Amino acid sequence: MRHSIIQSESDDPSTDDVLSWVYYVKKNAVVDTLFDAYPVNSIRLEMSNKENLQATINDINLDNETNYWYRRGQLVSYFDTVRNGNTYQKKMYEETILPIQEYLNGSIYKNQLNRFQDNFTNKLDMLHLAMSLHINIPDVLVTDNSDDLATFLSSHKKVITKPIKNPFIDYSTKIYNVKFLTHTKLITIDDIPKEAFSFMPSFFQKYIEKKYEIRSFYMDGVFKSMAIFSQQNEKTKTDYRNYDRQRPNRCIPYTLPKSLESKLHQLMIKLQLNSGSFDIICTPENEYYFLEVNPIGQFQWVSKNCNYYIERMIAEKITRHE
Amino acid sequence: MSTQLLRLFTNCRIVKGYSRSVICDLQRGKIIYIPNSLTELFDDNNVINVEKIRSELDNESQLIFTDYLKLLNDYELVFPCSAEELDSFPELNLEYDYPATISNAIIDFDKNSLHNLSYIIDNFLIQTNCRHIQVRCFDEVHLDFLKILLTPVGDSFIKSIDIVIKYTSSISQSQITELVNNNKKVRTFTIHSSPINEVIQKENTNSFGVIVSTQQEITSETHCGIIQSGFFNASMETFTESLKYNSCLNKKLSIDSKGEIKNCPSMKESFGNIKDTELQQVIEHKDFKKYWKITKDQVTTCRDCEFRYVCTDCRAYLEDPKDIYSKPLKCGYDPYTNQWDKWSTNPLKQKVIEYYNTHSQ
Repeated sequence: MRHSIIQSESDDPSTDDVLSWVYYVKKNAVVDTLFDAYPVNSIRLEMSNKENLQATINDINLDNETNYWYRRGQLVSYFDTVRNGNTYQKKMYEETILPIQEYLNGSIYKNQLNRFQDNFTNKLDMLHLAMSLHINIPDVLVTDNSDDLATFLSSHKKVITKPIKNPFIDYSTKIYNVKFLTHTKLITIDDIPKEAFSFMPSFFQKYIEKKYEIRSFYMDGVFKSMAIFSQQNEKTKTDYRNYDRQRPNRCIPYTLPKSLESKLHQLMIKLQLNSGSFDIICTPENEYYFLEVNPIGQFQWVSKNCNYYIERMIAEKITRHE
Repeated sequence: MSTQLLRLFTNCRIVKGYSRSVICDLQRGKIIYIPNSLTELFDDNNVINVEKIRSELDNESQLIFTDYLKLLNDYELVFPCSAEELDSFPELNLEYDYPATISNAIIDFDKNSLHNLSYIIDNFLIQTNCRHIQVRCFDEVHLDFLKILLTPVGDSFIKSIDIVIKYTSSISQSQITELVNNNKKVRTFTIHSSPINEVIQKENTNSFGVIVSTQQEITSETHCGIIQSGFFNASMETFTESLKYNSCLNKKLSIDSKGEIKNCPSMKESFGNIKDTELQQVIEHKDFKKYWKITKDQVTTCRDCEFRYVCTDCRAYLEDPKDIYSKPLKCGYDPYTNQWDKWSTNPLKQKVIEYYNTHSQ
C-alpha cells in the first residue's frame, strides 16, 4: 500500500481540512507529515534501473510511488548551520549538500502536487511566458528611474506598483520578528521621488479597469473559478485583499472561456506547475487580463464560497495510489 | 446598452413559502424577506428582465417594481448582466458532503453521570472524525470538573467545543473567563439557570471564546428542540445539508447523561450504553440513521415554510408523536399567516405536551 506525504505548516487550516478529507475518502490512508522547518537528520537515496528510486528521510521511506503534497514549510538539513558559516564552509555546503537539498525540493514522485521549488516561480518569467502565449497582460515597467516612471504614468494615466516577489515578508533577527504585507497600490505623480533621480528597481503595471476579478484554482488542467465583485466597494477596488468583513465582496462560481483556459493550461505546463491560483481581471469590455498565478496560494475561500470541495479534490489526488 | 438583465448572485437562494419568500444570502449569512410577487419576477435562471417587465406594468405597479429593485440593490442581491454573459456564471453546486461519519456530538452530564470525555474521544470521536462537540451539564459542577474535561480536548484533533453548565456560586466569572481564554478550542460557554441574562465575553477574531449567561433552565435533555428565528442559519453548509438531509440529526451522535448512546439525547431509542457498546455496533444499527434523511420537504407544514432550508428542525418533539413527518412541536411559526406565536401556550398543543411529559424517562 502506498502512503502519502504532506509537507506543510502545522498551523495551516487548509492542510487540516484536507487531512480530514484524506481520512474520510481513504479510511486506511497512511500519511506522514513534514511540518514547518522540518529537520532532515539523515538522508539516504538509492537509484537503480531495477529497483528505481528508494529514499529514506529520517525514518520515512519513500519511492517513486509515494504520493507527495507540498503545501508550505521547508526541509532543513543538518548542515544548514554550515551554510551561514565562513566562506570555506559556505562553499562546501553549496558543492555537496545543496544539490541533494535541491533534488528533494523538486519533482521526484509520479504523483506529486506542487513542490518546494514552486515558491520561487518568477513573476517576470510568468508574465513573459503569458505574453508569448498571447494571453493579455497589463503593460509592465520595471525601472529604477524617476523620469522613466513619470513618462509611463503619463501615458497610462493610472499605474499600480506591487512586489516583484512575495507580498508577505518575514524578517527575523535575534531580538525581533518583523512581518509585513505589501498590497497593490495606485501610484500618483506625488509618489515619484523628486530629489532622487533613481530608486531601487521596482515593478509597475498599467492599472486595468475591472468589471470583476476572477480567482481561479487550477489543478492538473482543471479550473475552479470564482468571480469577485470588488468594484462596488471603495476598500477593495484596487486590491481585493483589503477585505471588508462586514460586507464581503460578492464571490460566486464563474466559468472562464475555454480558449483562455487552454492558454492558461499551456502556461502552467511551461512553468512546470501542476497546481496554482490565478488572478485575472475581466474588464468592462469583457477582455481578460492575466495578473499572476500563485503556486502556493489560498484556495479555501474559493472552495467555500463556490461550494467546490477543492479540499476533497486534493485529498483524492494525494491518495490516488493507495 | 443592451437589454438590462439582473442576475441573482448564485449564492443568494430564493426559497418560496406559502405566503412569502426569503432570499437566503449564504455568503453573508442573512435572511431577507421578499413578497412572492417579487419571487415570480425572476425567470428559471434567476434573472429579472427589467425592460420587459417595465413594459408590461401599469403605473402603480411601476412604483412597486422600483421599490423591489431598490431592495435587491440595497442588499446587493443582484448584478447587471448581459445575455451573452449569463453562461459565464454557472449555477451554484448544491451538493452537500462532509468529511466525517459523525460531524457533531452532544455529550450530556448530570450529577450521576459516570462517563468521561477522554474515553469518548478515543473510542467514538477519533474513528468517526468527529471534530465538533457540545458538552451539557444539567447540574452544578466544580471548576476542577471543567479543567479535567478540557484537558484531553486541547491536544486532540477536536476543533471546537461548546460547553453548557448550570449556574453555580462556587465558580466566579473571572475563573470562567480564564478557563475559556486558556482553552482556545472553546467556541461558546453558556451558563444556564443564571440569575441574569448577560454576554460576559464577546467572540474573539476567530468567532471563538463567547461566554454568556442565561436565565433559561437547561436541566434535562427535554430543554431542546425549540424552533426560533435566532437559531436559523443561512450558511452554505446548513442550506445544502437541509436539501438532502435532516439539519439536526444527520451525522449526529449523542451520549446522554446516563451514558446511553443515541442519535439525539431527547429521543428514547438507545443503541447501547457507552460502558459496554462498541462504536461499530452503533454505526451499523439499522435505526441509528433512521432520521438522517428526513428533509423539511417531507415534513407536513414545514414543506410550505420559507425557512425550511435554514431551520434547525427537531424530530424528538412532534405535533403528532406518532408521525415522524409531522411539524416540530416547539415551533410557533405559521407559514400560512407568517405569524410567530408562543408554542407552549397554544391550546392545540397541550395534549401533546402532556404526552411528552408523561413519556419522558
